[in-house]
Amino acid sequence: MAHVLSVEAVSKSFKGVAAVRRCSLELKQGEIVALLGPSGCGKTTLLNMIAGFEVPDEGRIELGGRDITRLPAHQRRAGMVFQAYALFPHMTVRDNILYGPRVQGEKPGVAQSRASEVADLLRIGNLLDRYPSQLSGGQRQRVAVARALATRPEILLLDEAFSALDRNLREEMQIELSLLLRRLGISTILVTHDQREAFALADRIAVMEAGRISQIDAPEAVYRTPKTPFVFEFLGSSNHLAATVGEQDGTPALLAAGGKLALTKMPVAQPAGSALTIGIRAEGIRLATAPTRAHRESPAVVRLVTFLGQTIRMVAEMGDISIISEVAAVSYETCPRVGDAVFLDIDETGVHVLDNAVAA
Amino acid sequence: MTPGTAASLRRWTPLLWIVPAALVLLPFFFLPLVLLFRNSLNRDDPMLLMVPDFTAINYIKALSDPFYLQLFANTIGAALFVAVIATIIAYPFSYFISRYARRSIGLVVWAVYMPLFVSVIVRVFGWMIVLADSGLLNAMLLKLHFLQTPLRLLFEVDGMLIGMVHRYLPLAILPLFNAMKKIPDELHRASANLGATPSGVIRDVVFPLSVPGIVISLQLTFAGALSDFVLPQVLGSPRFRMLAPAIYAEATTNLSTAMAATLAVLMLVFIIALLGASGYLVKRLTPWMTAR
Repeated sequence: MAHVLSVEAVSKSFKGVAAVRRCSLELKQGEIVALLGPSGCGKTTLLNMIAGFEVPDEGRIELGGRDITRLPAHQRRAGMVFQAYALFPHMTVRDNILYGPRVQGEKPGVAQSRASEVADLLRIGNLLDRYPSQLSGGQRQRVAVARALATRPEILLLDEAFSALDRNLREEMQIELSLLLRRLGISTILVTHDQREAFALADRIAVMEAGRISQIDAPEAVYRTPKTPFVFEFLGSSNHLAATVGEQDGTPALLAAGGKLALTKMPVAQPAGSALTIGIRAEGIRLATAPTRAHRESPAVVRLVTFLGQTIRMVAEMGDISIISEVAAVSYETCPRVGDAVFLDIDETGVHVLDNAVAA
Repeated sequence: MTPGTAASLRRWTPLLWIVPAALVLLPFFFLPLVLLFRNSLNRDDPMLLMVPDFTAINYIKALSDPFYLQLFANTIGAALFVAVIATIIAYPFSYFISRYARRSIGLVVWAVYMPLFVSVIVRVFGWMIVLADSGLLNAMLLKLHFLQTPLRLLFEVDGMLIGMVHRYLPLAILPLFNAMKKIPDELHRASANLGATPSGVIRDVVFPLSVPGIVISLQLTFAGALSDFVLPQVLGSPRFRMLAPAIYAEATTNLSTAMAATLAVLMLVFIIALLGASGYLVKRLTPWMTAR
């Protein structure tokens, strides 16, 4: 099936500083892709090039089979929801929604029926005569989405569209919008620095670092099988440990924390004696009261136990190394307390070799 | 001190902030205004000069005598012309600097302000050099054979209007620039994203949102030109009389102090009415700003 959007090796620099470097991306009809990365990673620039607010230095962008690389923004059919919503303050909600169909030359009747259709979808029919200044944050976001959808765009672009909302409202809106976009089959690109938002909405996540797409995969794949150290570090909370390739009981092992931790199930390609950095996610470490396979002696000491609602986060100290462990909150009653001596039980399937150098 | 009096004292203490201004404004501005109004109700007498009285005769004369009506028509017409032309010139300029003069914006705004720091007399003499029959402008146009005989601009309405537009242009640019730079870039983008052409963005977004700036620009330039004394006096023509020089002439040449006061009061009333009307106009044109 043809792609709705295809971005081919697009690059953009500003005053000699590369913002986006040879990014490629394809979007199937009805697919939702998140561009996820820290601020300054180029995700917004990439989105702006798709919307037509920036012209790529090189590369090609096609939307609905048509080359739009240099097409002015107003001739593209890419509906954008802006970070601060960018509702027209001098127009009522109705006029905001009607604006797109109107300037695109739709007949008044068509424009009106589109407006009432999207107002129903976003459940803002009761707000049509208000000005944006009279709306709450959540209502503004609904209007912004309705306005973008009223033009029947080929693709919807969400630029940090949830970041202005309170947390509870944000999650509600994410669920509602996710259901709506899937029901309508609207191809969407969302830009976010919030991994929860990316996971909540996207079919695929493109993790961006320094202008490049490091990995583009299904949410569980980018989380569980990160292809670069950056992807691993950016998603979830993780521990970094310096390790060397050695052996334990005659089997090759990764030895960390001065040999106190031995990981035997890892496939180790490097020769014995190599220094590496390994990453273990917080939820890949459990704190046990008895010695474990990976941690047989010199226990760590629990320094901090934090109840986070769904999870408990514990910090244990092993010599000068701090270890973060995160477990489900159901075990709160039985989990270690501050001052307890504990052994690390490590889920080795979640251990990643990040680097061939020693952790800083 | 009982808690009650302490609380009521606290309620009044903010008023202390306006005491310095009140000390200046009450005796030196408000009181003279009251005296001016009182004088306008007196009667001018050729022999006795101003005679104490309590009559509306000056107002009736000012608002019915063709001489004075022509004076008002001239003044309002010229002020309207200056306000509209200055605003039309200022609008695209303000749009340009609010959108495109990003790094040089400090310099540009300074350049706009700069003439306000130069004495109006100096600027008037500058215009005399430019506009005179043998001045810069005429010399250039003659040299380029655009003209056979010099244009008479100086000491004519034309010269006065040119000088006024120049004088009040900064007062037109600054409110427009202020209104336009408050329009977020995202709104321009949103408009384009929804399908508006670049001129559509200006028509649908920039223009309606700059209406308050347009009204303030018209207001400031109109009020300035209406009450201008120096430019009509120095650049203008004695055949096209303007209100401010006329008030001066009433008071000094004609020794009609009461009539001068009457004209001054009328000018003041007119400007106050104008400010009120434009405030109302802004409210009507920008319902979104007051919607609650």
